[in-house]
Amino acid sequence: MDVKHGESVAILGPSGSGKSTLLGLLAALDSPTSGSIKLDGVALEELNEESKASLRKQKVSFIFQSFMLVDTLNALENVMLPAELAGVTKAKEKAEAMLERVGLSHRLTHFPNQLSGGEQQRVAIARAFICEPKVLFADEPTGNLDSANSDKIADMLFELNRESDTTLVLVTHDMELASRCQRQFIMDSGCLSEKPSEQMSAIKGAEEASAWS
Amino acid sequence: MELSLAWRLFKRELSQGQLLLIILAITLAVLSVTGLASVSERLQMAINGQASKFIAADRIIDSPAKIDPQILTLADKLGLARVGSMQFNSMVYAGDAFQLVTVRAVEQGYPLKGDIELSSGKANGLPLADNIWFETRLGGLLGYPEQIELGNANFNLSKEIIRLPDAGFNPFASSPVVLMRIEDVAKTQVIQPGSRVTYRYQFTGDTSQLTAFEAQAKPLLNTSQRWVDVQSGDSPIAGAVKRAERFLLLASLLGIALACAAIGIAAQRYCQRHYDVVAMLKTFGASAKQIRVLFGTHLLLVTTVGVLLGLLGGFALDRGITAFLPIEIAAYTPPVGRPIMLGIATGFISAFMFSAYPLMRLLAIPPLRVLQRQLEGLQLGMWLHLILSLGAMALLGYLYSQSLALTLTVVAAVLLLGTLLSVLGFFMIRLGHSVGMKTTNPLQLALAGLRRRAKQNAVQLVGFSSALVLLLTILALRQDLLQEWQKQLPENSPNYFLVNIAPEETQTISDFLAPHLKSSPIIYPVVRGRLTEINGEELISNAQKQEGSEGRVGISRELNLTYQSSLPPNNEILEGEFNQDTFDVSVESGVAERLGLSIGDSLTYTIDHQPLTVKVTSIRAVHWETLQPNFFMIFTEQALAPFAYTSMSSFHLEDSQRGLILDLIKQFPTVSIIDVGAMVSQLRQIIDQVSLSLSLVLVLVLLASALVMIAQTEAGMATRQRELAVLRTFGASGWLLRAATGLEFALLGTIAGILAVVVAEFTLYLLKTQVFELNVYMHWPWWGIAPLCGGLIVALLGIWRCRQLLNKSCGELLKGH
Repeated sequence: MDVKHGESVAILGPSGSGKSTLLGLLAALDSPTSGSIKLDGVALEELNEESKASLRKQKVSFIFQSFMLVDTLNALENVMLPAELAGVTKAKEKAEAMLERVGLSHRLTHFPNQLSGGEQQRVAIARAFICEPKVLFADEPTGNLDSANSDKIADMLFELNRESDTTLVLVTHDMELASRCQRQFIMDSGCLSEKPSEQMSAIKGAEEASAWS
Repeated sequence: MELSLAWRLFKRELSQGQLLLIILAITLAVLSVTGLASVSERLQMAINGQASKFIAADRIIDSPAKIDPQILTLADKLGLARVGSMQFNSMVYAGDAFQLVTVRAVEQGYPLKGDIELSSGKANGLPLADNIWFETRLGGLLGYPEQIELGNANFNLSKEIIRLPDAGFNPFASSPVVLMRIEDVAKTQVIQPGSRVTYRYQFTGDTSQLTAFEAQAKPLLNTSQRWVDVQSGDSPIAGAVKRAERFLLLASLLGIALACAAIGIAAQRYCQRHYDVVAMLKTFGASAKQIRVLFGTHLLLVTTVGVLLGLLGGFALDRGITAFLPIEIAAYTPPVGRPIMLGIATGFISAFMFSAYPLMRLLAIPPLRVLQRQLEGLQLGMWLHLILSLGAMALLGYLYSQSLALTLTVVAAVLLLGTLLSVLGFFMIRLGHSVGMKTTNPLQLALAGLRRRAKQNAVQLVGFSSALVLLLTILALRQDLLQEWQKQLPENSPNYFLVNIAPEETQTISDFLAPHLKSSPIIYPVVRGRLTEINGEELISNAQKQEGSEGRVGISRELNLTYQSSLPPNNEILEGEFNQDTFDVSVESGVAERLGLSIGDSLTYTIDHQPLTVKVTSIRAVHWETLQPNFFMIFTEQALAPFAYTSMSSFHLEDSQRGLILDLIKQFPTVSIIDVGAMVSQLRQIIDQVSLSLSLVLVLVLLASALVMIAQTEAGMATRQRELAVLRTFGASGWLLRAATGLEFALLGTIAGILAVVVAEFTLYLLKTQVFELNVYMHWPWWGIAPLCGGLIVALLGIWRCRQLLNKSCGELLKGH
């Protein structure tokens, strides 16, 4: 599997097929027992925990199905968090701008439990983009949302992705969301195969299973 | 950055009430340490202060000759107040009458503590030159003369002494006391080379001065000089004070242990709550150092707030208790440094050492938890947690009590409880391995719940049982100590002593007193004699021993010997049988030990220049604190019959009967009456004060236990909610769930109760044998009461804590976090 800079890629597959495991490996959250993963030219399997953390800080960001906001911090503080960890100056101003960008400038001081699911995920999106990551990993970003909110979140995600020229790796089993990505991969029982684009023949099927290196 | 983030997290969590439990736990630990330390320091000062009035000083050096001036220079350098005096026996004459008296010749400044009580009230100053103050009965003995002759000088008899502050309690001091200025001694020319004189040097100062003085002066003393302080065992108060002090320490120590348990549980909860935050921070690239600094700072802030609140609370506690104390005690202001330092140390040591293990686990949370929620990172060895927690407890215990025995006892109790709990937890998990929730009836459901939460329950039991252990231990010990004291000083302890009763007066005095007393007084004949030989081997003096003589060292003074036909009250035979034959003697155990006596040894006394040889047939323990006449040696009447004797007795009179004493003085002018009522009431007061502080400690302990229990149920709330949600969804009735929850907690409480009794009995055994010297016995009623009460209290508390969950609708349960 090879993902180019600025591409958007969806990984599809049934529950338990290994999508999240793959995401963990690609995002330098986990270490492979064999094989090799290169992220922006760096071989992940050669890094220790600290270097992986530093790499994540500089190049990677995340959006989760369950939002993963810190309950005790308000929207603004949640968005500031990664920027502060990375030592970005003017983190507050940037966070305010990001929240305005996702339409939540009136919700800055609200706590997660005071926000709807859609709003929480918008906060998470703002948080994901504040450090201008090279790669954004999204794990079922619309999985916990109703269809209207799902669409809004998806629009926002792809728009921001385009604007900031970020590479997007998205794990989902929502076909519609996956179809908005430039490329689609299918994960099945630990095997990954790229789904040909719609213009290409559907017959090619999934047998072109290829291991990635 | 981490600092500002830590501050922000702290601020937010504080305002949302999430840190309440851990802060409360720290506050309580600090509060109890600071508060109790100040109170006990105040009590200690007051007790010592009052007791030191009995020796009219804080420290005394008694010496047969003038002491090394170096010691006095040292005292001056350290800023101690001091006063010297001489004591010797001499004859005084008034016309044809003469009497042996004990002369106290004192320097200006005497007494350093307490007052000289005169018949006209408290004395102001000392006798003028050429004047003597005299004990009331001397007047009677000499026929109330205006002047007396002492050696080569004449003195005016100016004022009557009721009591000297350092007269001590010696009913055998049969010669009346006179008080004069030390400058007047020279002109009497009574003191010649070889005269028997006791030089007494009294010192007062603050604790640090006295400690320094003791450290430097004591080594300069020789063996014939004696160092006396309030606690050196001479005063009957010393024993009571020491035990009370140790009890107060122990109670606070156990209180600290419990507060530590609360901190431990709260810290675990605190760390669990942050698992997701740490995983998230790591995902966004936080380095290990950043997270360490972040949570280190966070915990530091939490601890600081807890410590500050605790110090304030401790201060308030001290104030509160002081307000209830009598003014004589409240007037003492102990230095605040030690309680504050102890409080701060307790807060930080307990917060950080008890949090260390949960914190390590927190820091080890893998970032992958954001995707796989069940991940908890490294399972570090529990032994580490155990070592750290026990270490913290032992360190704090030792810092606070400075007593290894107490500290080790507490640690041993904690270890036993821990072992029992792990065994129990293991069996609960192994034996309870059955499938399903068993939702048929509440008991089944409760049992299933217990098994399912076996591991968590083992932790919960720590809290419940340690709180119970503590309560039981404190209650039992308090009861035993109070009883012990009551036994020593029953309501009608003797408050008057009669000495110098002539043989022919014995019966008349007995008849005189009998109608006014509840029981006729025991009259003890007193014969003075010196122990000269043991098993035919002559005894030597201390001085001879030092000069290199071989032999056993005897008692250098004359002893008071008595005879009784049966064993007097407050005496207990340890070995042998009480006097059966004429030449049997019963020996007090302390003396027997000092002289190396055992049953069958023969003792030879010299009485009136005549030898008397007797055989040791019993060894007795004597309760010296009882204020009854007590004797080292008790003979048979036949053995002492040939010798001259006077008698003594003691009895109790109510205040309303005081008039009787005046009649007694009139009818029996030669009998000396010693009023010890003041001393008895002082003893009682001290015991009351200590009891009060004990009750306060109990209240604190109860607070700490409640906190632990709340911390415990709090920890299990989230899983319980999920379970209730599922059971509710599938149609379990509200009644079933309430009954099952109640029963589950009740069972837990019952188990805790049983464990607590086992550990409490063990702890009490250790404490009574190693620390308090009390009788060990089993508390059988506890074995029923503790499990019952444990079950009831924990069930009520559990239902109360879960009432919101139990009242929630299915939808609310499913939605809730």
